[in-house]
Amino acid sequence: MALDPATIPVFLVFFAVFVFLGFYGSRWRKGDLSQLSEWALAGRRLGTWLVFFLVGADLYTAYTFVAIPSGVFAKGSLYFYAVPYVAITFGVALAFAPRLWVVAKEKGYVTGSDFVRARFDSKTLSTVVALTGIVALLPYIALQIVGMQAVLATILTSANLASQSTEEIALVIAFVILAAFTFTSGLRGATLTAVFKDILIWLTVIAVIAAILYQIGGNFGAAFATAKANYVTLPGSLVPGYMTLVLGSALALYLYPHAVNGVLSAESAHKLRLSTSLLPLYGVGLAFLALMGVLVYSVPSAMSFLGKFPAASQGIYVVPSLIITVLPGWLAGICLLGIFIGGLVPAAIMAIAQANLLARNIVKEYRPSTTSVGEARISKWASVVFKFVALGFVFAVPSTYAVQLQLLGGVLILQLLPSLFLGLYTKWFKSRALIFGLVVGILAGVYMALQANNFGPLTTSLYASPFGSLYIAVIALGLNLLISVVLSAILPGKRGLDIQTTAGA
Amino acid sequence: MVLILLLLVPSLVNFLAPLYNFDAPTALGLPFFYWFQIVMLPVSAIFYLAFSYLQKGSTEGPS
Repeated sequence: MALDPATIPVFLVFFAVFVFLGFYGSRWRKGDLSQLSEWALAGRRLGTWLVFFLVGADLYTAYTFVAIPSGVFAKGSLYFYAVPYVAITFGVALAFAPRLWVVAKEKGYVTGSDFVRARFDSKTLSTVVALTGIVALLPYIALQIVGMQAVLATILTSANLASQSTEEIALVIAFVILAAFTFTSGLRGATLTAVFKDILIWLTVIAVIAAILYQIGGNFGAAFATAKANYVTLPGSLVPGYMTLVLGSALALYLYPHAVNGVLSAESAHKLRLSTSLLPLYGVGLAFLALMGVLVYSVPSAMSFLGKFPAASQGIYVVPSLIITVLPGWLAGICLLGIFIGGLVPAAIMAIAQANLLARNIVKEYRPSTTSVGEARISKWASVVFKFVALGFVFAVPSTYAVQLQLLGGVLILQLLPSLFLGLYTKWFKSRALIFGLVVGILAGVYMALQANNFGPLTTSLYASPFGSLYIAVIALGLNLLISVVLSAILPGKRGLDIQTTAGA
Repeated sequence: MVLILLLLVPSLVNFLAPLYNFDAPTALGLPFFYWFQIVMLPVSAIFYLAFSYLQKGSTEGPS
C-alpha cells in the first residue's frame, strides 16, 4: 500500500510542537535550574494531576505500544500479564511511596539511594543500590529506542524508502534532539512534554480501538473464534509464569529510579496517594493495545503490511501497522508521533534519573567537595552519555525480544526491594547482609537468564523450577531475601538507624 | 492496619490467575480472562481511592 501524503507532514509538524514544548519547559515556573532538586524534581511543586500525567507517562511507553502487543501477537495470553501488573503495582506504591515521600521531603533526599545511605549508614550499600538503578535502566531505555525504531521503520517502509541506514540516521537525529532538550530543561521539559504526549497517546489509543472495532463490527468474538487456544486463555503450564511475571513486575516498578523521581516530585503525600490511586485507569488503554496483538489477525490489510517485515520482528509492528492501514493519513501521522515520543519522553525521564544517581550517590559520595552547581552539571552531561550508551544497546539486541529488555531490567531492579521497600518499614537488616543478598540476587538472576536462553539471545525470562516456569526476578528475589534475613540474624555488625521525622507517627 | 486490606484484597484477586482463567462467559466477544482483568482496573482504583481518603492527614515516615 502507498503512504497517505498527509502522514509525514503531520508527523513532522507535531514533532516540531513537541520540541518547542521541551525547550519552553525551561522557562515554565522558573526556578534556579543550576540546583539539582530544581532541575530534577521541578522544585517539588507538582500537584495531583501533573503527577498523574508524569508517572503515567512512564507507564505508556514503548512497553505498552510495542513490546506487549508484540508479545501477545507472538505468544498469546501470557503477555496480558501487563494488565494485572498495572492494577497491582499502584497498590504496592501506596504502601511504600508516601513513606518515602515524607522522609525525602524532610531530609532533602532526591533518590532512593539517599534514603538507603541514611537508613543503613553504609556508603557501599548506597553505591551498589545506585549502580543497580543505573544499569537496570539501560535495557529499559533500549526498549524505548526499539519502539521509536518501529515507528520510523513503519513510515519508511510504507513510503517505500526502507533501508537500514535511513532508519539509523533518523534515530540518531531524534536522539540528539532528545538529549539537547533534556540537557537544557530537565524534568520540567519532560513534564510539559508528558502532558502533550499523553494527550496524543489517549488520542492514539481511542482512535486505534475505535477504528478496529469498526473493522471487526463491534465484536471481538470473530477474532477469538479463529485464534489458537493459548490466545483465548492461559495454558495451565504458563499459570505460574503468569503469576510471577505479575508479581515481579508489580513489585519492581516503584524501585526504578525514574519512578522514585516521579514520587518525590509530588506536592504532598495526600496528592501523591490520590494520583497513584487513579493510575490503574491507564491500564485500560494498555489492555486494549495488548488485545491488538490478537485483533490484528482479523485485519487483512494490516496483516499484508506486516508481511513486508521479517517474520522474527513482525510483532513490534502490530500497532504501527494497524495505525497506518486503518486510520486516515493525517490521524495516522499524529498517532505515530504519539508512539514515537511515547518512547522519547520516558527515555528522557529515565536518563535524568540515572544521572541523578551518578552525581549524588557515586561522584559526590567519593568526592565530597563537588558543589551543587557541579553536581547539576555532571547530572546533565551524564544524562546525555547514558542515552547514547542505551542507543548502542539497541543495535546489539534483536527487536523481537523487546519485552525481554524490560524484564531483564526487572531482574536487576527487584533486588533493591529489601534495602528500599523493607528499609522503609524496618531497621532490622544489617548493611553487610543486604549487600550480600543484593549481589547474589543479581548474579543468580543474570546466570538464570543466560541459562534459560542457552546463553544465546534473550527470548524468555522464565526459568524452569520444581514449581513450574517462574519469572527469574522472583526466584532471585527469594534468594536475596533469604540471604538478607539469615545474614542479618547471624552476622555481627550494626543494624539500621532511626530516621527521625518531625511529622513522624 | 485494617486499611491495608483495601490494598491487599484487589491485589490478591488480580494476582490469582486461576480465579479468572476461563473463556466463558464472554462480553462483546471477549473471553472472561480478558474482560475480567480489564474490569478489575477501575475496581482496583476505587479500592485504592478509598484507602487514600481514609489515610488523609497521615504523614507517617519510616519507623
